[in-house]
Amino acid sequence: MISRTALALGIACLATPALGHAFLQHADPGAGANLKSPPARVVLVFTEKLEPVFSGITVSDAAGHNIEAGTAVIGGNSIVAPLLPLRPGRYRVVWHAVSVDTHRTEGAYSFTVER
Amino acid sequence: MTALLAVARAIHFASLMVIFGGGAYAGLLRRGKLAEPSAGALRTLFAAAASLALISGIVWFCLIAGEMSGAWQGSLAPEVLELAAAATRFGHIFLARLIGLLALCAMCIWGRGTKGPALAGLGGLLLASLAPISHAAATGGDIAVRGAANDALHLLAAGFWLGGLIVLALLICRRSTDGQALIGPLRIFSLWGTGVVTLLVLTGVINALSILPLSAMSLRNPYFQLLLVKIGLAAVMVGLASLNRWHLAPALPNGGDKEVRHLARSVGLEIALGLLVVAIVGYLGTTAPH
Repeated sequence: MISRTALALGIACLATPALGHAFLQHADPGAGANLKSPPARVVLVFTEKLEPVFSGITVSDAAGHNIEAGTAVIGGNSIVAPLLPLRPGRYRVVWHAVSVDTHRTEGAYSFTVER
Repeated sequence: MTALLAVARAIHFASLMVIFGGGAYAGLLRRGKLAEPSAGALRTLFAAAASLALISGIVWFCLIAGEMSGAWQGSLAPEVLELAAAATRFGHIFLARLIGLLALCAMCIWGRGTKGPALAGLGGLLLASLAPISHAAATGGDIAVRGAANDALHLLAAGFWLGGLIVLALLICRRSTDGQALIGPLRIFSLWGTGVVTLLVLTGVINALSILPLSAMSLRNPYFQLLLVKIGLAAVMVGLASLNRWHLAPALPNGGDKEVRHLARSVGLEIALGLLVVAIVGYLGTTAPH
């Protein structure tokens, strides 16, 4: 019994914790970034797999106009939004993500393209 | 609406546990030719549990669809429900489970006899099929499969305990003046119960470690606080189960109505604590672990 318990605990210790909700793990461009050249896309990587039909992103300029060049590609644990050619200015990224265990998270951040 | 979701989840878990654990224990009693609750009481219990499982399963799905859409009104919007059913993992699992739940209702409400093993099989399948949409299965790949398998075992072990206890309570009510007839059923329950509780503890530890990193095991984390309350209640249940096995059950052969009453009270308290644990599980699934 002791050896079985030790084995089970050993397996448990090797397990990587699952977060349960899809939290934003990495963003490119990142929050508050000041870029010398305009990005061609926004890439968001999350901690969990996403449900594409209930996840989404909008990227807008200072005037509130959407500047995505097409539909965002949502698959696995990432969202990739292609962008129109950007002029210098401040841009806002607003996203919402639903993980495969159905929990919804959302967030927003800005980045700047310098002159 | 989060409260309603937690209630729907808890009712769904509890009703399937009653069918799985109760069906399995009733099957063991029949196989051992031991005293059983009346067929009418078992049929009423399983029919009520199956109906509740179906209704709570549908409510759960609608509320989750609304949550995924970002607005609770989505729970009643046909286009949101259709999208959730057709294009999400939860929806695909829900549709498959809906067929199983309808079959379970048909079996419990219109079927003849109590069909313990068949009921336990279908109830267990429906209970275990909740694991792929659990927190433990949120990450893709091997970890998700391992997490879901572990969670399924945890649910089945808990189901046997709670469902078996409820059938045992029905039996005690039926044989309240015949302590002798309860000895065999109690022995069977204790025999299986020891293995089940061991499995429950092991899978529970693995579950907790797979959901919570060490940094989240802090008393400032509400999820962890509630998890500790759940573990505490489960520990009291283990204490009561030990009391039944080592103190109250041995007193039955030479005892009378008083000994049976003590046992009934202890089993009733154990069931109440079990339902409280399931209520906590219902709520935990609606919140972020950290």
